[in-house]
Amino acid sequence: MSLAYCFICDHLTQKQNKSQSFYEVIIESILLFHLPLYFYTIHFNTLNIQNIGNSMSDTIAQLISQAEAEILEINSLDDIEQLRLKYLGKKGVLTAQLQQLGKLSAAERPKAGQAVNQAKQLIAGQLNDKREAMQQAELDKKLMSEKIDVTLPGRGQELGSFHPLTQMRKRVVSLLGAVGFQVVEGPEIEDEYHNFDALNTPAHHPARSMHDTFYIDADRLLRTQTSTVQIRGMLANKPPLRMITPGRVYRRDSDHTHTPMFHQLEGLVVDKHCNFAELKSLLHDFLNRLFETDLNIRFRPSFFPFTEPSAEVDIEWKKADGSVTWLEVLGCGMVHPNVFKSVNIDPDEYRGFAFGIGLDRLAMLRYQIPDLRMLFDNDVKFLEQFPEY
Amino acid sequence: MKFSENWLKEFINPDASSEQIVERLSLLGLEVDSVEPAAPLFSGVVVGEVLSFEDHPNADKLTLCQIDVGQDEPIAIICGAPNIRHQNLKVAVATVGAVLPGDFKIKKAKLRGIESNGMICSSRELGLSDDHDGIMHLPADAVVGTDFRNYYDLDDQIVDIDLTPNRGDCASLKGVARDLAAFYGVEVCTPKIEAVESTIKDQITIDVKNPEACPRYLGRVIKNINPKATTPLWLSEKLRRSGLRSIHPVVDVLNFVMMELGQPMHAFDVAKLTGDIIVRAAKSGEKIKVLDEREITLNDTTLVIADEKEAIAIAGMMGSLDSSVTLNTTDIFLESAFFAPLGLGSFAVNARKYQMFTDAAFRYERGVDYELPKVAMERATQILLDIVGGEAGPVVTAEDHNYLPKPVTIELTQNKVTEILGLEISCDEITRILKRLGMTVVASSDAEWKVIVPSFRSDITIPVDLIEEVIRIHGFDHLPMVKPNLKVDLPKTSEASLEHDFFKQQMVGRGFTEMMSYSFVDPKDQQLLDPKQAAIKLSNPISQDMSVMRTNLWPGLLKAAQYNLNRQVERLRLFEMGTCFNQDASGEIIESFRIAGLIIGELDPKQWGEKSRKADFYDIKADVEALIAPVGRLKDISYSDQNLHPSLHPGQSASLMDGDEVIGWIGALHPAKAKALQLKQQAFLFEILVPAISCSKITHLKVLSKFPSVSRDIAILVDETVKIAEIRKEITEIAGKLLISVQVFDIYRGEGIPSDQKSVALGLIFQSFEKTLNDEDVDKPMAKILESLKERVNATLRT
Repeated sequence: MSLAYCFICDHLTQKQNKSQSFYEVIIESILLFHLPLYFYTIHFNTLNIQNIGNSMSDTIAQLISQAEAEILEINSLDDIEQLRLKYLGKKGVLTAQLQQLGKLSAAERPKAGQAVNQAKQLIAGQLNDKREAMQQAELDKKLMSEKIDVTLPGRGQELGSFHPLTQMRKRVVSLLGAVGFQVVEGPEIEDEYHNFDALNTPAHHPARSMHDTFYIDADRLLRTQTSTVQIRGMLANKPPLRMITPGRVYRRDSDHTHTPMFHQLEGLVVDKHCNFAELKSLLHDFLNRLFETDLNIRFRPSFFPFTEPSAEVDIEWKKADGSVTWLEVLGCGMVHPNVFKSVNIDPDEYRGFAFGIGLDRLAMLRYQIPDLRMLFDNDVKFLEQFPEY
Repeated sequence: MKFSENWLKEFINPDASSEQIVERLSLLGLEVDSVEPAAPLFSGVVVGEVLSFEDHPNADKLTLCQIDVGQDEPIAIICGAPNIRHQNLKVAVATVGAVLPGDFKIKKAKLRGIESNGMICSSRELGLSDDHDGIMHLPADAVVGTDFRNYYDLDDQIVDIDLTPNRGDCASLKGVARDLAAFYGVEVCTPKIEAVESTIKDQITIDVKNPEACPRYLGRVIKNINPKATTPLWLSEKLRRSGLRSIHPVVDVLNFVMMELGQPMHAFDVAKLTGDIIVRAAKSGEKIKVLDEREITLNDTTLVIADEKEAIAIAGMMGSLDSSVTLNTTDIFLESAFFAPLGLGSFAVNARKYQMFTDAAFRYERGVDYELPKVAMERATQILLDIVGGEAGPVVTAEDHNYLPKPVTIELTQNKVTEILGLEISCDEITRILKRLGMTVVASSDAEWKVIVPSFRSDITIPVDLIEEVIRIHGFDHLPMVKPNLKVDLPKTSEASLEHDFFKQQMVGRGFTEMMSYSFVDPKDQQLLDPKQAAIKLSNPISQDMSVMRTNLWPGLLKAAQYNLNRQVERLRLFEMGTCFNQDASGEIIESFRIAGLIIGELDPKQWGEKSRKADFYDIKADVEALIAPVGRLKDISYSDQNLHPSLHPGQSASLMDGDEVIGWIGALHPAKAKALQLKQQAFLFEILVPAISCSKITHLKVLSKFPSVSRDIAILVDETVKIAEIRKEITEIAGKLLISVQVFDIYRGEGIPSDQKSVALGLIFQSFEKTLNDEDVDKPMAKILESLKERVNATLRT
């Protein structure tokens, strides 16, 4: 506004020097700059522009000033119409002024006619502005009367929620899926061959007592690990292979960190040039991406019948009480040559690595669930806390 | 396996702190489960001696004692334990000012009028055991006034390691020390073990009938042991810190040797044996009453130790009650043997079958060093003679070299190590590590070796086993990380097949909460909610209420409903996706992946803007349609009143049919079932076989007509029994190709309608591909429709 102000002042002063009528200057400026009339009213006083001694111009000036004052006063659309008729109507005062033109000299006539017409435009413009302002005010009033409480909750059905294990599985699958691990699933009721024998765990193997197995009958059992699906995957497909096998597994165990049913996800890579350094790198990246932080991770030698060398992976974890501890999060290793032999893959030609993750345990850590059993209590107050996906 | 850290340090004492050693054990694969102090903190407890005792004048059960605690004057203490009454008995005395575990402060006190200046302690009061049979009796040689903690060497820790099944060699202090020594590069100090010369000729003949199961059996008689001998403190404390109870001096010594060297041993009371020792297969059905007083019925793949009369031990597991040493035993027969894990049937399988989770079985299952029995026999004899006295006979050995394991030789190359690990470890480092682990390493050529595995490492048979040893000692922390070369192919996926997540997304979007329940359920619930299916039983369930595999998902859903309804939840929308287990007529197991949902209570959550209304059949039907519609098969699937599910209300349920095939069920829970489940609110359920709705088809656009459509609304009166599906079917069949849609927009009963009839309002839309339809074009099919409805379902047009 300040820029426009300077510009107009400058303009007005120049025009004044050329001895133009003040009103001519004003009207011209209005048409030039589309500023409201009150702007000029103010400057009329402050700039002290010399008036010209033309009586008709004076009359017009008075009419403008009067109309402006009346427009300020009115407050209904009817009043606007009244004023329009009064100033601009066929019997209006400015029409009357036009009729007066005949009395002027031929030299004055065009100039005066122009002045009257400019005054008509000016007043019509003002009336229009006033009308629009009033209509706007009326609309505003109506809108305000329709105001609602936007803090009231939305209507209808609310969103449900995903089980935290669905979320964890989805996250792990999407991370590993992005580098080409294919999801493979298999039966939950298995036989001894797929669950143990093919995984280098014959009946006499002491590792069998590592997991207490649920049996259906002499041969059929609830799988204790999803490694069973790796066996099926390797029997069904030729290497190179890259698969993940998420699913339910069962062991006879129950306390706050063990449930008789839980969820595993195992990964398997079979290729000609796999090695442990690659496995270490992959799991390192996986855990850091999963937890979205830089974890301290350690690999600890361990034993699984189906891998050699084998390791368990611990992460350094800050507990709720602030203390730091190592937590075991997964097991891994290079595929045991006997496993390859049982699925007719030549262990001299191919190598492989495998890893197994407890999804329940990861969910516990990630979502700060203190007791594993809460995952299967199905308390809606627990479940509804997990709306994200 | 638990052991005392101080004991371990007798074997190996590297330049490392306790914390470092404990961490290293884990990093060597001997995962440390816990580290606990050998005793809780206490102070002010000293060794005292009972100088005199007399009855408390004012109490029957209290004894007033004068105790020497090494001060100028004896102190008077009142004791409640009856076993205090021994002149010169050495006891643990908490003097005035002592603080016992649990911050229990000992003060001067008056008991029934007489002052007591301290307390005589039981081992439980000092946190040493749960034993509360009176006060501790300390050995006679305990020096009066000695601080008890020093006397008992209590500034020690109990380390508990979780041995993996392959590491039988570490089931002893010596084995653990051997692994640590390999890492730290120090020597293991083993006790000096020398053959004990026999002083008597007594011996018992050993007849091994099954050398394949027992390739080596050593026996020795020791006569005239002192039945009054007691286990010395140093030994009983080592056992206590190994989690073993002191039982009998002979048994304690054998347990000590087992903990020290790893060889399980057994002692029989010679007086209770008849004739020779026979090592043989059990007769099928043969019975033995073992030490824990169970009577075990044996199978013929079990090896037993027998005398000429009967079995006196299950080999490597447990001895018989009758032949065991007792407080009256004077002559013993010691056994130190190598039982093969797979000699006669499977040792491990039998141990699990007989529930023999003994320390001996634990070791034999994992494989005991076949060269150890001789050493252990001498060690045990040596200590026994020191503690219980007696005279030792000669060691009798029965062995068959044909069945003894042969030393394993493995060829290893540096190349193979590098390939598997992705790290080149120097030849020097590889040989150094293997040698420290007790292997004999012979270079066969450059960077190639023949490695001879020691007798205590039966777990090592192939090159990768050696590579594991190398990286175990070298340390995984020194293994670099190498980005795997994971070339990614574009996945082969089918646009028409729907992922399970899609259905979950759909349900959650409609306000359902996903739940997960156990796959095994209570047979009562399963029978109630799927009575036609015979559920698969677990032979060893964790509990009766989790003993059959679910045949459908409703038991889990309804159990969760009960759980929540009992916890102030009144409105539920739950769903679950998971595998169900059924069997066909031949007993073949069929696993089916299903989705099921449940709604109870109000349709919408409690809210301000809508009139509340109970959810009903048509609400859950809309949810089901939302699952099926995206598959593009909504029209293929019909709702039938045939093949109804017996757990649903027969008048308010349907089976979902894909042609002739039942693919699901929907409806109100049967009131009788609800009553049995004590469910007070009406539940609506559905269940669908997921594969039946997972396969969609790729949409091929139908060309749209550019001509305007014409709609006609009619209301017809029909009998209550007429189904909407029949009316729709009739209309679509008769109307011809101009009819493009039929909508039911009102069902009306009541005023103006006969009581057994209903008014059905239908909106019909006609459209042509060829022209703009006029009234006449539509009148014709409309007339046909009305006529046909009249004829088929006795419908009359309502005017």
